[in-house]
Amino acid sequence: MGILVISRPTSIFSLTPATRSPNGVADGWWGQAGGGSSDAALLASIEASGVNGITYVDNSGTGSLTIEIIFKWNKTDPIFALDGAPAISYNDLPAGFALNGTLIMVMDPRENPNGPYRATLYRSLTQGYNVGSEFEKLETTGLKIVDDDPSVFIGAGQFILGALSLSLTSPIGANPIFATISNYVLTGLYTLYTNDWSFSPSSAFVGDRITFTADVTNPANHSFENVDRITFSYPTTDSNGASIIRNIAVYKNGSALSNDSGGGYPVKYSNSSGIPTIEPEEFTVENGPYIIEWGLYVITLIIPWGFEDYTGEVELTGEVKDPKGTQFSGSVPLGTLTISYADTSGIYAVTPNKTNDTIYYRVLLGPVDATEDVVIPIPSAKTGFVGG
Amino acid sequence: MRDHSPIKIDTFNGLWRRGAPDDTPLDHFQSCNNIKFSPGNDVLTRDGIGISQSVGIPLQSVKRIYNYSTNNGNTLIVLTYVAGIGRIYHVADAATVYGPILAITGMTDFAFASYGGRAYISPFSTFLVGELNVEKGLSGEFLYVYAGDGTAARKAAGSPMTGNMTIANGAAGHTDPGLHLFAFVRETVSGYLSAPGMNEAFTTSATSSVSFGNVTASGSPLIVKRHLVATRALPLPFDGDLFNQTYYFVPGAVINNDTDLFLNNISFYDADLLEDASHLMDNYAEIPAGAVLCMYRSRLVLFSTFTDITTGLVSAPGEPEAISQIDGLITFPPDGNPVTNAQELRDILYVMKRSKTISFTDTGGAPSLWPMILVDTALGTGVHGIATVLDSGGSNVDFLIIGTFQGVTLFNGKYNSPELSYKVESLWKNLTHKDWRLVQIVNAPIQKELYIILPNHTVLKGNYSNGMDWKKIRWSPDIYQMGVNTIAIYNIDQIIIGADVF
Repeated sequence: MGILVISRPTSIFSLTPATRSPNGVADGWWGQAGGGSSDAALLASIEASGVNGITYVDNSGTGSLTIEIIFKWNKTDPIFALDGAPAISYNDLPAGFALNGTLIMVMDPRENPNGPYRATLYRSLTQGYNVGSEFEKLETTGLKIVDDDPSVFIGAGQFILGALSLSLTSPIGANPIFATISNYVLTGLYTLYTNDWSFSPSSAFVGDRITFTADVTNPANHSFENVDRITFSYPTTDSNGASIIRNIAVYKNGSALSNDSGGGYPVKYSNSSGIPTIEPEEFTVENGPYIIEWGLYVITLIIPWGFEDYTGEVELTGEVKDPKGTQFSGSVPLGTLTISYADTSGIYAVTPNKTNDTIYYRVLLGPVDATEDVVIPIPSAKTGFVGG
Repeated sequence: MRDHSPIKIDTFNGLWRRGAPDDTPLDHFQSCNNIKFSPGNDVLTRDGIGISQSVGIPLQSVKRIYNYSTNNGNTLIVLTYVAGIGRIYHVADAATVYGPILAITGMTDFAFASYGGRAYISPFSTFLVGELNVEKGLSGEFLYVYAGDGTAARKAAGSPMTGNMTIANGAAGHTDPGLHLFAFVRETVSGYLSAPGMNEAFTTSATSSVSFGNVTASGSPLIVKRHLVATRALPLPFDGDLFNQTYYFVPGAVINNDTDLFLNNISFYDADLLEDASHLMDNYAEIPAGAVLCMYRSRLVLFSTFTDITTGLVSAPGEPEAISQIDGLITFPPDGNPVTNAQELRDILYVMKRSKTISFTDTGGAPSLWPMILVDTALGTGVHGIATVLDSGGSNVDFLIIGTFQGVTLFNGKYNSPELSYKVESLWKNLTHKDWRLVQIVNAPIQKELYIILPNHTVLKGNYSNGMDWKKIRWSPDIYQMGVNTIAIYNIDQIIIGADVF
């Protein structure tokens, strides 16, 4: 467990990578943000002159407005200061890095008189004054690291930390004319999931079983207790020929999900209030027939379909869910699995009283009418709670 | 344990996916997979699947299967999609595959209707319009007709004949003397009559028959007859307009092939000219492809073409390829959404968008005059969302089963509530609306089961052997080691599943 501080981006909307000012001022301010004071460059970027927040103008006349913020950086930008150490980039985060919750800190406007705009947050009853503390803690619901949601707003090699939703209300009952947020800092806690996890076999066909094992003979290692899903990722192309990464995740709760990243397809965006939100196209498979066992030390899955005609290496990651119950915030590389393509498409007939499935199983360069008998995937039924 | 009251569970009524897991009634499952229900209360592993074809090169990458009843048997018509090309095959039986009978680039799906043993095929795909996925006919594509005999499907309807024929007095005979206009009408193997072509003017004499030469012939086996049509004697002076006239079929004046270049010694009186052929000039020579096809009172109905997603094309009764461009049109009031389905029930044509339903009633007049009634302003379905029943369209007894955004719903002129899928509402509401085109429903009355293909390429079964209402239907999902795309019933009770590469 450690403390994390993340610099603010220069522009939340721009694809331009965040730039960092080499000459910061007033390190002392941010020393109180929780461990970031030793990162002078980081603090400089936060307080650099000319770095302003975002302004939202409300014309609704409702007396309140809701804004959403997505924080975005390049994966190579050194922005994560862990335990006061010099900032590192997303790509340099240690394996097993998991964010245990974040909060956003906003400067008291009275304390930043030198900016081109007074650091101001018109929110609730603050109205730029009467703030009793140096920093105001804002809601952080939904704040998480996201790097698998492609968009026109997230270019290759970028990631986002978001989204944060704020509701602003006029302090005097009148319509808020604008709301400005500037000079804020993100801070939080992180955990490193040290592990000695392995899996076998190292090569398989779709539909085969794969078993993951956690060696916890070393007390420092973690079990699978907080592993929320296991993701199979492989490179492919979208319908437009663009390179993407397809992620097929099997969740601990039994569902499965597939989505694409790294290209423009098939992610969908809504754009309420001018702020992009990300809704990756995905399909879910109810009731998880892919899970044979999901225990503390052993996880056994049937490799789900979704790899189309892919043959090659598949990256496996275990996604860690914060034990405090907040949103997912970390991933642990598990290794590389080699998937062999077997085309199971065709026309099938349901055969009464047949006790297994006979499916086409066309492997590369093999016969086109090859078949294989397989078990019916995990027939099961679970009753409602008895006596609950 | 003295005061312990045992809980006895002796009935299993299928999946309950509504609200929190804690809400699951004791006689339901909070989760289940790959099971089936016996006629009693037993729960068993579902039936296994086997391969359906016994041919050396089985079909792969199956996108869509329809049941296709030919004059000789119950068969399947199958769409595969490989490398951007959709190919349609006719699977006559396990060992016999015809085709591809049609191959079109970009055909990811097709609409289908059968009539008189022939298959009417309309290629369509999904287009992104704004943020909507819209199913509509492919651009520059047409309705096709397949004879069911393994020959390639051909474009439905047809162009009028062209060329310059010669006309002369023939052997002694009779006509009403005067200026007549003559033309020929092609009849295709599927019975379609083209618009009159090769129009010429000729002044007949009272004591002579009329002979025709240089009649265009293509030699196509698809053209089985060429009919002579003529006007009655026209008043003079003639304005020279060969087309905007009233033509009639000349009785008995037929060339019974598409090879002869002449038709000699035709005698007739104007009083014999009774069967009007003028309406043929209003028909589509090429019928644009649409995403919706159905039969309604022996008429073919087609909706959602590439250029018009709300206007329906309705054929003449018994002539699926004869669609008037003038009065063969019906319109679903436009609202930006495409028409997605159409189905006859109790002599009424119900037409759906994804969230709206209207009806038309055939009054015997031109389709453009049919009265339209708004049935439901919130519920509709997708392009495969009306349950098909064996080889008929969708009506079973006296109702339809429709997959709406609300749920799987019985429809008997109104959408019944609560819906059949009441017990699995959370599962249903979790389906992505934008992929509603993938929802396909088949009703198997022999098994007393509904089979629903979901957008996640699994199957949701609804067993109604205890009764078809929301309380008694027993739901259970089936999942296979491949993604399922489509389902059909074959030979009364054979369930056929089509799988693609996923």
